[in-house]
Amino acid sequence: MKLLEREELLTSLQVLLRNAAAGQGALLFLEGEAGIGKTSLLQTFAEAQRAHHPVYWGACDALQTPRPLGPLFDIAAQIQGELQAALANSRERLHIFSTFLHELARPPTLIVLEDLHWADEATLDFLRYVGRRIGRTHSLLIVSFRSDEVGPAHPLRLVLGDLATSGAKRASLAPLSLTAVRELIGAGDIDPEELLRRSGGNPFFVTEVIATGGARMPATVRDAVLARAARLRPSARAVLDAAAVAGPRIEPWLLEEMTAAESGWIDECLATGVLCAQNGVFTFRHELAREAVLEALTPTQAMSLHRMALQALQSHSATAHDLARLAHHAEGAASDDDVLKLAPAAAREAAAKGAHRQAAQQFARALRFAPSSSALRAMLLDDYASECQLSGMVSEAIQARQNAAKLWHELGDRDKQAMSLARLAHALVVSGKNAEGEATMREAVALVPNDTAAAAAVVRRWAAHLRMLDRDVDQAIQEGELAMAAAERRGDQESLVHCLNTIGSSLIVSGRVEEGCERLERSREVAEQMRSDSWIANAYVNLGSACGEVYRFDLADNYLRRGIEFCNERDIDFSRLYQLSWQALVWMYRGRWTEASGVAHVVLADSRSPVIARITALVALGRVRARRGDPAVWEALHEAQGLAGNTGTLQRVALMQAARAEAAWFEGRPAEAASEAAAGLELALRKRHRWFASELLFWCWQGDGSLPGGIPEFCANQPFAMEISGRWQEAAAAWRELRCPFEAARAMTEGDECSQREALAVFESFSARPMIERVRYKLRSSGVRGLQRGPRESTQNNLAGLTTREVEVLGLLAQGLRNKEIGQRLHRSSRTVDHHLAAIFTKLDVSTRAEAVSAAYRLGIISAKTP
Amino acid sequence: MPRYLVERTFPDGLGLPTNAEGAKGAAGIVSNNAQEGVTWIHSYVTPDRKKTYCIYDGPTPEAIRSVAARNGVPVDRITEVRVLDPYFLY
Repeated sequence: MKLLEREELLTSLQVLLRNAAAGQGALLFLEGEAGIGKTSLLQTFAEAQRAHHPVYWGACDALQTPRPLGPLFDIAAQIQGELQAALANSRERLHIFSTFLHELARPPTLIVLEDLHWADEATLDFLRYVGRRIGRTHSLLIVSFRSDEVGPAHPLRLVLGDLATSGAKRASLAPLSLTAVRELIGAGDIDPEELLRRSGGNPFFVTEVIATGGARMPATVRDAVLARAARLRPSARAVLDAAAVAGPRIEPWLLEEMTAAESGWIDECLATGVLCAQNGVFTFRHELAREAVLEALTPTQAMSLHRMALQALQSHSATAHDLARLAHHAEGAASDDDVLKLAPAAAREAAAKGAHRQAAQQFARALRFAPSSSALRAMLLDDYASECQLSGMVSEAIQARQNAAKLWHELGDRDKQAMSLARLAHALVVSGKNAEGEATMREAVALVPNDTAAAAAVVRRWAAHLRMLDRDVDQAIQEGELAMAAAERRGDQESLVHCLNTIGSSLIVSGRVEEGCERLERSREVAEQMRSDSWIANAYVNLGSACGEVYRFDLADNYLRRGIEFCNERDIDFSRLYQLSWQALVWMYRGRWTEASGVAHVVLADSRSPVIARITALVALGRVRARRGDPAVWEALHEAQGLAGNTGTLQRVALMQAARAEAAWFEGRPAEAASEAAAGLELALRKRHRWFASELLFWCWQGDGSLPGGIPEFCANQPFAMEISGRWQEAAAAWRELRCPFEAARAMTEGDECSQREALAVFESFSARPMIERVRYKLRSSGVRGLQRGPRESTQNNLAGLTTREVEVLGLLAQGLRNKEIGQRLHRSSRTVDHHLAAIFTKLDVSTRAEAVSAAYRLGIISAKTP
Repeated sequence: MPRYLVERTFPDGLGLPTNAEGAKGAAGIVSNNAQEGVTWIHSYVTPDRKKTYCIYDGPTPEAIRSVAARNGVPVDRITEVRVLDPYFLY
């Protein structure tokens, strides 16, 4: 078929491939509605390139539950060699992905992945992995998808968003013009304007209508397809029906087996053009045509054709192991036994490849056929719940786990019921339903009075974990030690890893940071030996978040960076998102506000973010806004209150109440600040949490001068307590030690004029408007004159609002000087230089020294001539 | 999408001339803004050109700050605002 009005796109594809060959690999997303001509364009392009470059082709299928990494299997069959071996043998996705990338690094290649709107989770992860790295290869990867099927909530949208920052390109196909429609009709007796209006210029629709002769203009593209199919003789139509069930890509032998006596009529289907033969398989001329034929089948016709397809596929060695495809036909055939055998096997295969969403769907498929009140059903419910939780569908996980526990109860299996309940309790807690989680855990514990049972070990370690999460740290350590001793006796590695995690996290929170880190590091090491990615991730999560909670931001920053990288490479999203939310909070404290709010937005924009990550990100964002005096503070902090309030647990409530107290105080409502702080204080005192308790006391005192219950002994040496008791110099030094520049400056506002002026300079470098206004007012009221009313004068013509001193620092930075050297040149301490750098980074919206210098050149703040 | 009033101070006066050079500068700003989903509606400038009051549509205050940094202009204060039009009543 002739390609019309696609010259421009073909040229840009050629340019992209040429650049790729020269070492600038690229990923292009090609989008357009169904039938707009994506495949035709790509085939034309690929045919033209085949003589010069290898071309590999993969496609996603419209199965209800797609085969994990389906398109990669297609491509592996074409490349063979290492990739095929990796796919066949390896359970490790990272290995498969990097093998693929290795293939791409060879001489220039064109790879086409079609119909990614039907992609499984693992394929999308693959796309994310390759998309971030393709720039360094010599290959062009083109990915097509139907724009009308990828709504705002479609998983592919997230990938598009993720990859937009990695330089992925987008192109879309325009509908045909009237001229093109006229050209296609040729001498035919069809009104081109009418056809353009009906079809919206969709090339597939247009050609279908022309193929039927256009005697009656069909209303939809489906009508057009069925009108064309209706002209086939009955035997040929039977072949077409079988093909629609067997599709989208139909092996010739399969179609022959399914149609037996009528198989001679395949040729008629090919001759009329409804079916095409391509690369050794039959396909419909377009997937839209297959869908139309499939929908026109009666349920009994469809069932018997699915049964025939299943039998044929099972008896053929090449297809007998394609579990997702077999399970699809088994369900279509409504064959209970086959579904219950095939779907769970397909699920386990998907899970091993990291496609947890597909695994959950296959378990769900099996559940549709599992007999009620059977142990099989209860087991499937547990498996389904685990897969849902890993892939971020926590509410589905909770419901399934509840049903599993109920069913185990009816079946009289107390051990299984107790284990389901213990895991249910944890799922409830991470989704912010703490009270329900605690009640569920009590139920689980009561079911296994006998400590020696294997089930008891599972329940005990999850119970200890919940105590840690609720910050009953002494109890968590005690219960964790008991469970760990039992685990060591049994040689139960997973329980050991889990208990070390619980104990380590509790130790850090209670202030024994080094001991705690040591336990968590050991937990991570054993998890590494076990190759348990999820427990390695859990160790990083708790190292980062617990160190952050006790203001050890140096340690937290380091652990979070490593943990996020680990999860990123393996696409462990639940843990990745929670760690990102803590990174936002840590950066907020360290004065890196632009980066903190940026990361918080990443977490909040992701629908997979668990409730606990949303709360933390909202607190970080709310505090950055409050400290800057920006709007939308309460938008963030009200949402945080709604989510954290439900948990009633210290970790979430104290973070949220302290942020709200600070924001109210900045906005000049001190009584409200005190009452917000008081709302979390009782809980923090009861759990003896020195950081949360001392901060909430501090805001009570700032608000209305009250100190409910006085400063308890365990808080006395906290920097917040030093601020309360007027030891501002000590407090400022402590805050500086902890790398909290904003808190250090706040402590100095309680000092003499000189330290107040120093604090003012820090707040100015942060553009922290509420504190700038407060300190200026304070200085003026004590008779200080000559204070700047607006932002500081800058003598140089720079638009970024940098002060003269900051421009000076930038100039020295551009010469490659280090902070200490810059300080020596300017006769300032290197701490002051740090403040200047922080201010420069914020104003230029950059995060490294090199970026700052290049931004300064770009904006003309410094010129190449600067000495 | 929220609307914001953004106040800026230019101690040496705003360096955006009303000529082809200025038009080019403004076009650059518009394209930087688009990357963050921010739209510059218009601005009011004091006669000495030292202070501007700019009306922006943007998804968040952070987006407003980010494009300000990219465009190399300062931010004194961001306030969320709504339109109140006296002639709407006629």
